[in-house]
Amino acid sequence: MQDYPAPLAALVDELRRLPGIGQKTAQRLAFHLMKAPEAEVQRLAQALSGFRAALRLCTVCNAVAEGELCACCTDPGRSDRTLCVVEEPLNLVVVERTRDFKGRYHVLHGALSPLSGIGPDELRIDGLLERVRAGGVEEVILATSPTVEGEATAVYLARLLKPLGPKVTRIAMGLPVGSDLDWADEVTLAKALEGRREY
Amino acid sequence: MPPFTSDALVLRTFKLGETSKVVVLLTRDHGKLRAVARGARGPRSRYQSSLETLSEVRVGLYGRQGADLLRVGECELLRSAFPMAGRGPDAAAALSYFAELLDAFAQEAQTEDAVYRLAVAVTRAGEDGGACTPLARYLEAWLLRLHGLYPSIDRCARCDGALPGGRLVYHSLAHGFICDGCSPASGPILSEVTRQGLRRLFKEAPATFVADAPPALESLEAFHRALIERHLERELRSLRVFRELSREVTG
Ligand SMILES: [Zn+2]
Ligand SMILES: [Zn+2]
Repeated sequence: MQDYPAPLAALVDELRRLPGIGQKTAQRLAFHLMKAPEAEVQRLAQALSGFRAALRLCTVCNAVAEGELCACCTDPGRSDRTLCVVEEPLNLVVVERTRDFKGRYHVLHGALSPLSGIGPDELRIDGLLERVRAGGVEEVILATSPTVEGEATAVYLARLLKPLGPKVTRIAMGLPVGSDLDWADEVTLAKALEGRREY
Repeated sequence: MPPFTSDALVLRTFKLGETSKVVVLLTRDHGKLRAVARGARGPRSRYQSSLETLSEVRVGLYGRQGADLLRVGECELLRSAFPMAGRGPDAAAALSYFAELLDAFAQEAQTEDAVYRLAVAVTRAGEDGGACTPLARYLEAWLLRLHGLYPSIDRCARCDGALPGGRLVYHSLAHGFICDGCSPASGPILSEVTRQGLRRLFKEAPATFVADAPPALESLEAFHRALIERHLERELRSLRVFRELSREVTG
């Protein structure tokens, strides 16, 4: 890295820390910014320095919010009877994109991950139980990832939630739209069969 | 290295770039290897469920001579441990712990056929519904033993005389159990019942062992942990969560 002037090297170093960005991409971005109009770079710098202070986590569902509560929690058009549990704030955005879900959310901020030392205490589970205990929730949809860790988190939550009364469901896992049935492996197909529905 | 195919267990994966994964594999023929599975996190990954923890796969690997990262080509799922995760959080955490143990003991590119067979047998016993806690003790004991780290339960570590029957007394400086004549020892002490359990553990297949797990295995948890941590010079991260979740489930 000694080939670069120090400020450029520092920028490449910081960019490399971001997920999905390696040395080459970091260099490309840094050189792009060097050539970009000054105003553009200033806007980026402002967005970077301002966004952390302006954002916090919703005190009800732990989603990213501008104030005390997030947009979903304050939306009077949404139903309190259904809660959708996701691992990360970004997952919420993806579910929202379907425009099919009109209930509320709960963000765990992770999944049970023994290899990363993440157990139940490291997740935001207490708030979820409190919301269900408070009453009015008829169904909790567990929308954790279709991985060993997401599955572990779902079975863990199901055990805690069921005794509290609501119906607990898990999103279906299975075949991606547009894929070929012949190529599905046994786990994917078994999960697809398990999640079948009646016409 | 010319392209080759091997049976393997998936120990771990790391995210790489936007859609790929680095996979740590315990291969039957070439020991522990790392390889890149391109597009494994993409929306239409051809790897589907095959790269989840402790999947047993038949994998094609490609790579240049001297490259420390190979490439995963075709990857056929032979047996999946995924259903075990659905059995309960303790079983899912056991999968992670077994994988971390195997990863920690395996050396890169060093073939250990006995370790591979142990890993497959223990994983299958777990998939078939075997109780996770005794299975963990089984895997720990055998991994230690196959690496020459489990003390003899028959001979004194000090004088090499036959150990008397009954309980086992551990002496940490001698790295083993010692006889009455060589005491006093630092401990810990394993009861006679635990010793009989150990005898069965080293004689039986994992599925048989856990189907009717012997009593008094609890004391082995701390004992094994101490042996493992002395060897690795660190603790295993997944053990804490595995212990917590096992306790929560069994009450
Ligand atoms: Zn909210
Ligand atoms: Zn002796």
